[in-house]
Amino acid sequence: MSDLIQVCNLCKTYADFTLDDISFSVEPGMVVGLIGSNGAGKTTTLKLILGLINADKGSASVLGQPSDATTTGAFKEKVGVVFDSCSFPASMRVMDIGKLGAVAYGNWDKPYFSQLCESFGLALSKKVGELSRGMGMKLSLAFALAHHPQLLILDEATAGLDPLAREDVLEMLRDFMSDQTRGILMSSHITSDLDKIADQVICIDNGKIIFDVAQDQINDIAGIAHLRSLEVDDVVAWLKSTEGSSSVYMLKQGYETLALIPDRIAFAQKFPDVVVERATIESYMTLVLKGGNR
Amino acid sequence: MKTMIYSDYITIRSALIQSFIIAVALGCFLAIPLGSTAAVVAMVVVIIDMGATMNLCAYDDVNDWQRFRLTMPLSRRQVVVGRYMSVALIMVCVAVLAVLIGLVLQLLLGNVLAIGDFTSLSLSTIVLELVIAAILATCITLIDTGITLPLMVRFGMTKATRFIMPVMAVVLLFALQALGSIGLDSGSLESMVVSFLGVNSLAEIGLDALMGCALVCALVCVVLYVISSSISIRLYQTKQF
Repeated sequence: MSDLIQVCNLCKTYADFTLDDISFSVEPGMVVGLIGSNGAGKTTTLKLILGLINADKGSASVLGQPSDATTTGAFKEKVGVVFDSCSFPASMRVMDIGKLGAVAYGNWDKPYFSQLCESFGLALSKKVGELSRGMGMKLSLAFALAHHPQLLILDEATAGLDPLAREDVLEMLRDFMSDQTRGILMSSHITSDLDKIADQVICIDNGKIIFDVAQDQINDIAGIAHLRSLEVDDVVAWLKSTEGSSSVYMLKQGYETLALIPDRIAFAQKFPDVVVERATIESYMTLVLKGGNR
Repeated sequence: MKTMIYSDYITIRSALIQSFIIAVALGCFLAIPLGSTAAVVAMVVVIIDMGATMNLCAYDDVNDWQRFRLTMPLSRRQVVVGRYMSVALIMVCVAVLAVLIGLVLQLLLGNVLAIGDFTSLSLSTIVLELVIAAILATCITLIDTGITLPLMVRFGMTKATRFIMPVMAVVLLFALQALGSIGLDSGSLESMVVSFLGVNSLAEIGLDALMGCALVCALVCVVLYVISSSISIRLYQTKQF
């Protein structure tokens, strides 16, 4: 089966920012997380994928169709999108939004939308303007899911949700992914959500892809070593000599130095006295972005 | 396009009801001092039509609604054509409602309360007068919308407000110059129609002829509105969100 999203060498230049040569894909059955600091280029990438802005160079396709400003909108029938805030006008009621979905999408599932609203505690008669930020995000998610899309594109979709609601949403996304023809591309600052759900993690910084690795590689194989000053040189030497470890990321923190270890099992065998813990996406990203490459 | 029209309808519904109530209340209040229900009809049309267009475009900018709307199965062309259709539908509905309000008001003031200014005309004359007033007022809002919508579509409501007044001033200036150059007196709408028809006063021509003029005027405005929509489509295709 072909990729759900194919991004090839995308470039976009603004006066003070350049998105440079971004390439990746989202395969069916995959949840791809897009991470990075504020202004790194995540939302610009998503906008390019959705055809909301035009690329200076490169191309993006969604469900096999090119996505740019001239797109006819046909592929959007199979795509659900959630931005970082509830975008519906304040004057609309929840039930109006359900009706709008029914008009807009051929595959709209009215009972499912009502069921989602009920499970989220969204009263159908409430106006969008009366909803809290979290409830607004839930409404956006219900709208994105109720036409059974093949692809979800989520831009900070879990922002503003309390931990319990976030867990519910993640559960919903796991259910969504039970069909292996589907996929999700989600950008998030809440990397713990991606730890739980992502298959692939792409980090963008200053408009460039810094890493694009499988989540297993981060959570199951990589580690963070807590080094004392005396151990640093030995570890750096070992990391450099180890195949595939041309980059050594270290960050001094208080009395210890943290080091990103690509293979923590091998590291533990070599340095049994050094504390090495499982890496999370957040610690991995922090070390790659802030830890000097020695 | 159906999506866009429905989306505009549910966005503007409550604002439309509010501005309708305000316009009707204001119309009822001003009918006696103005001495004419036709003027009330024109006022109701202009207030609601222009308010509705402004409201719709203002909602586009809030919470990035127009950006999100483009993630639904809609092309940019459908968004613009849908918006023009929504506004046109509102104009037609408001014109019909305004005539009905004018008629009810006329019957109330003339037949029930028997106020002098409102008792002299026959029902058929009144209806024709009200329809002409509604058509001409709709023509004014069509021209206004035809000028302002491309700007709002391209720049968004907030930015467009900087350009709307200067553009309107320039268009008005050129229009008056053009009318003057073909020998039409553009001092007032009445004098313009009088000089266009080559008569001494509007009283010389019948209401039927005036109705004909109003329909020709409406046709010209619809053509301008369609031209405006094609300009907006081109502008919206290049818009970056």
